Amino acid sequence: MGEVIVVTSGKGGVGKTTTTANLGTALATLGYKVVLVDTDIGLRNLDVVMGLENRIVYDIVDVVEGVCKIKQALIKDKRYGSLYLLPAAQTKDKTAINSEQMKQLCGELKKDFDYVLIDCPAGIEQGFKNAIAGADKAIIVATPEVSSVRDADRIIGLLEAAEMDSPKLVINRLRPDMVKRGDMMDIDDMIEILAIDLLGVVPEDETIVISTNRGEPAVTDKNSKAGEAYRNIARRITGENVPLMNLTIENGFFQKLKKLIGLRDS
Amino acid sequence: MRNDGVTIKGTKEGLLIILDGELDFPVILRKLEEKITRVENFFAGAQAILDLSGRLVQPEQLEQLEHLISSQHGIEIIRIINQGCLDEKGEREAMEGAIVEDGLRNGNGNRNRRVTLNENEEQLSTLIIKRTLRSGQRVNYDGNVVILGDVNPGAEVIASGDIVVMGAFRGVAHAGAKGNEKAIITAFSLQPTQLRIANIITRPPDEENSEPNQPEVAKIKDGMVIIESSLNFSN
Amino acid sequence: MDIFNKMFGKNNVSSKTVAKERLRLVLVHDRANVSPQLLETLKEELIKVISKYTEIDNSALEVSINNSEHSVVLVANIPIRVRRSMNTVC
Ligand SMILES: Nc1ncnc2c1ncn2[C@@H]1O[C@H](COP(=O)(O)OP(=O)(O)OP(=O)(O)O)[C@@H](O)[C@H]1O
Ligand SMILES: [Mg+2]
Repeated sequence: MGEVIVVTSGKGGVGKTTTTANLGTALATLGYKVVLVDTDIGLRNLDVVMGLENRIVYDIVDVVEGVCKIKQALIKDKRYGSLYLLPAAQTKDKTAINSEQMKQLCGELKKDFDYVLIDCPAGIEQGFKNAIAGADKAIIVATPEVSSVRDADRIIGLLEAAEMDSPKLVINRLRPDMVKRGDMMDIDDMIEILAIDLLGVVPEDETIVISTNRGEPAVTDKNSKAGEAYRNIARRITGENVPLMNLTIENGFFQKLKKLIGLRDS
Repeated sequence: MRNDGVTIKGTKEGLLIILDGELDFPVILRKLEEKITRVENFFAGAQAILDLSGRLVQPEQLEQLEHLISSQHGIEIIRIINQGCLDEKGEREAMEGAIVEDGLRNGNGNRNRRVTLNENEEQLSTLIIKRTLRSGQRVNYDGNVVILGDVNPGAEVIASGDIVVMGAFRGVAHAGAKGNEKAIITAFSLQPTQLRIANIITRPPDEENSEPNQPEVAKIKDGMVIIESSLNFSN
Repeated sequence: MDIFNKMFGKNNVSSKTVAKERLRLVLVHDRANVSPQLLETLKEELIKVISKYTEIDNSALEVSINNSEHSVVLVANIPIRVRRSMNTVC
């Protein structure tokens, strides 16, 4: 019996879809059987991030409405044989499915898959309720910004109310240079405020944009820092103990300057 | 086309069944029966306007017509008009405007050659959409669909007949959605996410991402969907 | 680092510290599910009640929600006007 993990954030655009795509792909490369479920009905994106948009015939709404079987709607990834996508419908809205149907669907999926990753829509309405309905665990994605952290906190509260196992935090788009000059909250600040366990930190990285352009998650790129971060997180999900990646930057202008004039870093 | 007594056309409102006003009633009845039976399944569930073309029919004759059209063939008659003895002429004309002439009735041959309709679609009406379809928008029409604009990724066009896009097509198209394998999909710039004709579903190959620089048409040939330049397209 | 901050004319307080402080406060309210309006109403009623017993400085009265060690507390800071005793001379 597999595990259903929802990737959620409250605030939009902080990297839920990116995280779902990358963790799913990384878990598949580790040999697990994985299905990614896009619950962002009406604003689906996981298909394009995975580069599978032109293979969609049926979607999640077709499945819950019984138009097709689950197997018919699952799209096999083009790179990894053990990775599948269940796409959202684009021409419907969040009310096209309900929590009970999601629970059933998740129950079915975890019979066949080791990991069921659910890409949650932004917000706390029906779409969010659907996304968490069948989940065993939750990953909260937050960027080091006031609005994102606040929304993450709200989500954590709602998950507690829904009696979900303690959620884990993924900090996304961290910029070590900004952290260094005190203009961005660091990892400790965020953990202190949100008071949940840290699952990993993903740096701001242009390879994310490039890989999204191509429809190939960054984890498939050996040279991507963000990809490496996601590979580490995937291993932590499987229970491995992987130390946090070193994100400190060297060779910035100020650093050089400081070295030159012999100032120590504070 | 020679007047064989019965003409069936598609209009915005549904089918328009025109019965010749001169022929003997039994002849008309027989011709109508022949014609409907030939394309029976295609019409089942449709709505129709019956035009008697000025004929004076007896109540029993009307019953016979209704029995044939509605009870036996499942076509709902929504209105009966009688062009000949009618001062509703204006209405009839307005309706004519909405009728898409099929290639056969055109008399002067295949004037709209590139968009020539198949024989099967003789009776289909055409929906014209004068705007760009965006992600999440979906058109589902029992007939042909003509779009004067683009169709963006994430938009879907489903038609039981042909799909004609006077612009760039980047979404999902399903022509011949009720199984018509002769249906076509054509666009000024055909860059689809997915193309479906009848029961065949296709997508562009992963490697390819070149933009076409000429109008193209997709159709089924030997059980496969092929795309070719629509400049040398013929049925 | 400080020297650099000064060199480039930055505020002494880094923006991240400001962010953290603001977040803390906002979250305390969010978590306690107390809206600013509710606090305002509370404040007015407090003034009414307390004014019955003693004279207070309405303008300086402060009601806020704070994080203490393990719990969220409601803090009311109510300055009482010290009455200058004036003995009436008959
Ligand atoms: N680590 C990163 N570095 C750079 N860009 C990133 C990173 N993570 C995400 N992005 C970019 O941020 C944008 C939003 O990401 P994504 O779509 O994954 O967010 P989301 O939370 O799923 O959004 P929504 O709430 O709309 O579903 C995308 O353009 C993505 O490329
Ligand atoms: Mg998303």
